[in-house]
Amino acid sequence: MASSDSHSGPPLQLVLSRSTAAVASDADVVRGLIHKEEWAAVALWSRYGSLVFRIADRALGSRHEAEDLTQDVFLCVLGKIAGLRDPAALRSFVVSVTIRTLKWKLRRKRVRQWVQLTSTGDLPDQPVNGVDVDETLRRFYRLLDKLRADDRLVFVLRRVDGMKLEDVGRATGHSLATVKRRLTRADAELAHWMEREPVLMTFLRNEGGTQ
Amino acid sequence: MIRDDESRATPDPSVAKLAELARGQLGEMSDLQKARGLHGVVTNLGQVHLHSSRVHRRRFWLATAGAVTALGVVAWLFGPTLVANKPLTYAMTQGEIQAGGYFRSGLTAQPTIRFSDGTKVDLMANARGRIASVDAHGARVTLDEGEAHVEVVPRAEARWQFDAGPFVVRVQGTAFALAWKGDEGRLDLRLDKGAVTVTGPLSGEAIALRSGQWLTVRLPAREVFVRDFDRAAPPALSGATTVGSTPVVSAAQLAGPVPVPAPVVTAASTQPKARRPARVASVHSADAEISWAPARAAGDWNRILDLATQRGLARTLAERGSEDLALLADAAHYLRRDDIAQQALLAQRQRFAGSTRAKDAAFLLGRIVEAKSGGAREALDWYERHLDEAPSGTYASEALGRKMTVLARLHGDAAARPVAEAYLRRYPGGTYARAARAYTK
Repeated sequence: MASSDSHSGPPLQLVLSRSTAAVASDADVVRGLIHKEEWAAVALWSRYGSLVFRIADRALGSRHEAEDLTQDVFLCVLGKIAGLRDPAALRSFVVSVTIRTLKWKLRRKRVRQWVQLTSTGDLPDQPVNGVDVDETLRRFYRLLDKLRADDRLVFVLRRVDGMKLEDVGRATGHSLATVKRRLTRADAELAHWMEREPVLMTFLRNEGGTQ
Repeated sequence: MIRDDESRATPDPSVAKLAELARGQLGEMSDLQKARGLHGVVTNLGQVHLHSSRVHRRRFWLATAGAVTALGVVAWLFGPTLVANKPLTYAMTQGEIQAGGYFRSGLTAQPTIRFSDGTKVDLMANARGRIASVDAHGARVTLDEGEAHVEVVPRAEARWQFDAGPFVVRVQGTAFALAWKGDEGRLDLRLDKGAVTVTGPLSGEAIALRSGQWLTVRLPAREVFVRDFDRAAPPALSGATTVGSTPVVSAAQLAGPVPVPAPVVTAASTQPKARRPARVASVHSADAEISWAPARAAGDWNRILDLATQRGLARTLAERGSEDLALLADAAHYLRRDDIAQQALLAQRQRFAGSTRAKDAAFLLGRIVEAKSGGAREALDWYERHLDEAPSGTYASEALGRKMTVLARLHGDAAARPVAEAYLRRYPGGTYARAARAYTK
């Protein structure tokens, strides 16, 4: 058996100037992306990767789907970056692409429900087993699946992500009044459906305990 | 709790509590997800670039530089302080590493090289190579001949490189089997977990592989293959290294009965070899991914259907990956092309047999045929298949409910009673429970 200390080679070289990506403004990043400079892609990801993932994960309730969607968002951003009129509005642009991509994803999920919905329009139930946080969230997101895609986005951005209503409006392209109307409808529908979800109610009564 | 001073509406306390639970539990990326995401963005930047200008398509180094940058910046982002750390240490079981980092396995002994971060390299019989360099983030390992099974422990700052002949495999956290046969000029890489990029002759640009894919490159024949394999029963690399000019992996070793399209292989094998570009027969080549991703990202159902049919539906069904087949089925159904949706689902079952999507496809096929006139019997068959294959799957309750309904329609309420009883036992509060109780009375 040989120890490795004597076999250590020289460290591999880093190929990125750390300062470049760290100090660049959003406008610089946009210009860098238009010129296909890798540092700009790194800066884009380091600034907005977590933001996009967070919105996606909370909207979808699935880490895997959120990861895939995050990649879709960045692919779309890279493809359309040259058309961004105000390079300083990169954050808004990324968020709007995220919301648009999420809408598509959620609509697709609703299309999928053509096979899941029963004649009554209800979602099928799962076996009633022990309930933990994961199971509770899964059931909660199944209820979210029943919401209209736009209502769901508004609900998630406001209630889960904590965005201000005005920001939700800007992100989704709705007026403030529309955002409030959608939010009220989503709240009411979820509250109504939850009454028919004894497992969720049990979890809430037990404050996270196992049934 | 979020203050709701902008709105008079206050959510139901239960809803608010669940929203808070979701906020606390969801939204955090793991380090590995960050690394994968960064790698994807940098790689996509190169691909967008390639698409925007054909001139740059020849610039092989760009994609390579992107991959290198991705690996480099992972360390920059997540572990800059570790740059100055001590290099990893390593040791070899059942053998000894010679001066200069050279190693070799025997005919029977299959030694393992273990690194101090937990990464290990299992050498198969008669493998030889060299540990060319080591630093705090990983190592560069050269496989001169033979086969090695590698498990790189995922770390955000990890940078590993494996050279096999003229090929370079760049790795973050992953598990794969790598084989190089110098006399045949043949590379095989079976990616069990994670993601890698491979650069070298023929490919023209970095080939990005994801888990479940198998890359084979044969230099003399100028052939490059990327295909999916069944991760539940990964085929042995050694079984694929002795074939001649026939497709490099036998159909039996692939996940489903649909092999790589023969014409592609044949054409590449019979054309003159001088200065002929390599052909890539790919289930999920980078090029193929690019062509669908924008449409997927834009939510363009029509575009997806167009892309699927433009390149030939049969070819699409034979070559696209599992996710794309599911996407195509959804798009086709949305556009009222259930004939295509049905074919996509059947291809899913055939090529990715045993996968969750294939099991789900059985149920989805049942729903399609049930909607057709006279399709009830066939639907029943599909529902039963789904219940056999995925008794606790996503659609299990729905399949049982549909089975009950179809049985009642075909053979009367009495025939549906046993299924109704089973349904009530499993889903007493289910959406078919009321109907099930009616059948049991």
